Order: sequence, then C-alpha cells, then structure tokens
Amino acid sequence: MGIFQYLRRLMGLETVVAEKADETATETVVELAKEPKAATPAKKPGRPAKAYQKKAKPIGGKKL
Amino acid sequence: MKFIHSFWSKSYFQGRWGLQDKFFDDLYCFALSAVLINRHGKSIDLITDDHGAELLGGIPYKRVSRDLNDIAHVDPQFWTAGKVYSLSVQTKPTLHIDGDVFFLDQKCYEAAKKPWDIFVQSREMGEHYHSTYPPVIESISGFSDAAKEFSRYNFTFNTGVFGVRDFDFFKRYSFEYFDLIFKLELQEVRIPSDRDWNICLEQSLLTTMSQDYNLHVGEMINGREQKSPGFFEAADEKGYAHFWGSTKYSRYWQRRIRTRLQKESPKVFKRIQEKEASFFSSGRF
Repeated sequence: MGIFQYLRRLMGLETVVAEKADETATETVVELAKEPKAATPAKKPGRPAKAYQKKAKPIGGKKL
Repeated sequence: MKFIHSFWSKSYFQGRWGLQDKFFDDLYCFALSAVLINRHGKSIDLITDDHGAELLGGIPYKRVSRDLNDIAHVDPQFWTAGKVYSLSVQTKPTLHIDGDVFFLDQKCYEAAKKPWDIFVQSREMGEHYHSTYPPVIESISGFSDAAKEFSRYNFTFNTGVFGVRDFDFFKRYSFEYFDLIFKLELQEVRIPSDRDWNICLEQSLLTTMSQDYNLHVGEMINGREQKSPGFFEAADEKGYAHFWGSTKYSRYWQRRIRTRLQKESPKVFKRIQEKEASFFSSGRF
C-alpha cells in the first residue's frame, strides 16, 4: 500500500470492506469510496489542463 | 500584514494534479515556505482541517485553525475552494501564499507593502494565456452561464500569492465563487481530465470581478517587468519563487528545497525528516 492510499484510507476516502475470516490470512480487500455520478466522461478527474502541466520551469528559484 | 497557508486535506487526497505519493515532497515545500516567512520576522498561520492540522504538524505556524472543516460538504474536485474559503474567514489584511511559493528576499515583502485592494503574483497573458485558458473556459461554459463572462478579458491573474485588503469585494467574490461551484455540483459534473476548471474558477472569476469592480490589483511581478527583464528574470531578481505545477517534484528541485530547509532551520528539517522516516518504517503501508 502506498502512502497516498494509506492516508486516503485513514481519512475514510477508501474503506476496507472485507477481511478474510481465516486467522492465518492477512489480505484485505479495499474498495474505493463511492464517486459522484459522472456527467461528462473523465479518465482521471481533477488533472490540470495540458498546457498547465507542461510548466517545466519554476518561476524564480535562483536564490534558493 | 498577515500571512497564511491553506491545506484542504479532503481535496488533496482526492488526487489534486492527478499526482500521488508526493505528500512528503509537499511537506518540505510547505515547511520551507513557512520558515522563510519566519526568517524575515513575520509569522504565518495555517488554515486547514482536522487531518491537515495533524499532517502538517511540525511546521512552525503561529496559529493553526481548522476552518476548512466548514467546507467538508464541498465537492473535493473543486480544490481551489480551500484557498478561497481560507481568505474569506480573514478580517485583517492577509496574504495567502501557496505552499510552493518562497519569499527569498526582502524585496518580495516590499512589493506586497505597496497600496492595493487585491494582490496577486502576476498576469498570465499572451501566448501562455491563449494556449491555456480559452479551451477551459469554453468547457466550463457548457455547464455555467456565469463562466461565459470569463472570456471578456484576455488575461488572468495568477494567485500563487493572493492578498486581500478589500473585504467587501472579497465577500462578493467568495459568494460568487461558492455559488458557481454549488451550481456545478448540482449538475453532478465531473471535471474533464484534460481541462482542470479550478484555475479558471478561482483566477478567471477573480480577474473578471476585480476588473468589473475597478479594483486596484497589485502584482508581485508587473507587466512591465514581464517585458523587461522578463518574467522569470524579474522573479529571480526579486527573490520570488513559485514551483508551480509539477516542477517542485523534480529530483533536482526537491534536493535544493530540502537542502535550503536544512540550512534555514535544522530543527524543522529534522522534524519533517523524522516524520517521514517514522512513516516509512511504520510498516503501515
């Protein structure tokens, strides 16, 4: 599990929905919290416009 | 002048920027940004929610408020809501700086001291504006008549720094902002993957309203400086840095950010480093 997933689970954005009854097993099944209904098709919501993502150069930074 | 950072964990962990596992990179950025403000004899507050207060613990904020618990009902797709709400609860002149903005020189403070009603980083205009904003505005306009107004101006203010002195205006602005996203929420919209509306919702609304109300908008880097010596050169000369987008996650800049933090405040650096190490050794992931 990555940090991001761990923190999301901690915050209740992901929930553990089933745990194996077998005492020797440790595997858990994780289900994503229900997302709102999509009105427009989207692969990954919340990503910036392409031109914005391309900002390869920070503003300033010479004095860092 | 009061300085604030904001961190809305609900939105952050819904995958803002579509990036994952960058939390500690961001933590070092927030820490350095805050430490640099403190170095210049100023203090900085954090406006966040319960989870944010815990996660950003160790950064030397004067005061941590959990006002962003108030917007727990807001759809986290609208990640700029945290910043807008954080400023809307202020009652004294306030400068919000993004967690990836660094004031490296006294000149930054001097620029922010001048008279203004609203203060921003700069204007985004020209080719950069035209290649970025019109398609996004068009996309939002399919769901919102209010957003159609955004195309009346051919530039937008970048709010890497966002100062407020005119609170009557800001009340109107935050009302319109939350009204806009509420109406979008009612339509159960999903922000398209290639056109993040947030930057327009925050910045283009600000631009349109501040021009309509004829406000005095101060800029950290003004239009003349963008022309000469140039946008990036003027920022370097002023000691203003904004690691926008994903630039802050490059190995080179992360190393520079962490090294500078260690130099500025070994104590804070150690605290963040220990936090990171204890997380990775906890076996919780």
